[in-house]
Formats: sequence, structure tokens, C-alpha cells
Amino acid sequence: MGFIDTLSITASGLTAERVRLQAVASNLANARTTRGVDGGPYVRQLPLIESVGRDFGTELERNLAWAQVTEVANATDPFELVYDPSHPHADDQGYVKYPNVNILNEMVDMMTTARTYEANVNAVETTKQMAHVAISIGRG
Amino acid sequence: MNIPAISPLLSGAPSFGPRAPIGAAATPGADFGAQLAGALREVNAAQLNADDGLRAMAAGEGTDIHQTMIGLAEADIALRTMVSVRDRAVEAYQTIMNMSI
Repeated sequence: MGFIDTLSITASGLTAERVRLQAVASNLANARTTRGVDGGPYVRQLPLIESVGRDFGTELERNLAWAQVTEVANATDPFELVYDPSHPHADDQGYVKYPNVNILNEMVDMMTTARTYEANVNAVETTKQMAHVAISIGRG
Repeated sequence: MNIPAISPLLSGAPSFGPRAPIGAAATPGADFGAQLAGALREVNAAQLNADDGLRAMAAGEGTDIHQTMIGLAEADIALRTMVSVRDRAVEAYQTIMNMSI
């Protein structure tokens, strides 16, 4: 496996974290959305990241894998029920269903996403440095 | 479980591991010029790839910034490797040319 393959693994991690941040942005933007596309309140979106194996060449590297977002799923937490009969979206009993988005959880997700992205960028930097050092072996 | 085939040890041309450094088609028995041309094509492909990424980003297409930047880094590494090989080749040539007979 060359440095280019290392970079492609890191790129897959960066893309996965970018999708996670997109999900967090969507969840935060719709934290109080009471009507979604299917008529109910907005459902918290949860990106599912799976490792995708790839033959990187040698026996030692067969367990190395890319990270890939395979699905953005609906979270199954219950909706928040608020009694507000004057709300246009209230049901027959006067309850309004608010999304199952917890802002604090989303903030924590956002921080871990940002830090993981940074870590991946550091991996890119290190890979570049190692490649440059390796190339400098060849210089007279 | 996927077990890759073991590469033959004595296939003629010297190989630096299971794959050539920049993914060049290292055909056994090919001369240095052909190998260098193959490597050059790979470097050129990396440059064009980086160029495409830059153009897509400038055009506002929905590409990831990091994909473009990693494309640039790949092109940079490939080019530096190629330049380093070229320098060594030219140096060896000059050494031989300056040899007093």
C-alpha cells in the first residue's frame, strides 16, 4: 500500500465526518420543526458509518478499510409532547409533537465530528510529510 | 476472507514490493524508458485529476473541499517522486558521460 492509498482511506474518513456534520446541521435547523415531509414532526437523522473493506495489496493489510456512510437513518427516540391547544399542529387532545432532537446531544456530536475531522486532516499532513521524507532519501 | 495472490519473486524486473510506487504498470522485462513513460502517465493522470477537482470546486459543483485538496496532495507526491527519479537518472547519466576513458 502506497501513500496514495493512505490518503484515500483518510479521504473516506473526512467524507464520513462531513456527512455527520450535515446530519447535525439538519437536526439543529429542524430542532423545533413540527411538520416534516410525511406530515409528522421532523425525525432526528442518524448517519450510519460502516467500514468498507478493500484489498490493499498484501496479507497484512487485508483488514484495513474505508469508512463509508451507508445510510442516514431515522432515530427511534420518542417525540416530545407539549400541551398547546392553540397550536395549529396540535392533535385532538391539544398536544403538539416536537422532534426527538436534543440540542445538547447534537452539540456534543458536532464537537466530536469537528475533532475527528481535524484528526483525519492531521493524518493527511503526516502522510504528506512521510512521503516528502521518503522522497528525500532519493536525493543525492 | 480474501487472500491476495503472492507475487512471483523472480519475474525479471526488480520490483519494490507488491505494487509499483505510483501504481505504474510495472511489466516484467520492460526497459527503463517504458517504465518511466508509464510513471509519467500516472503523474499526468494525477495532475489532471487534481485539475478536474479544482475546476469542479471553482464551478461551484457540490464536491468536497478535502477531496480536491487530497487530489492536489496526491498529484504533488506523484510529481515530487517523478522529479526525484528524473534527477537521479540524469545524475547517473552525467556521471557516466564525464567518465574519462
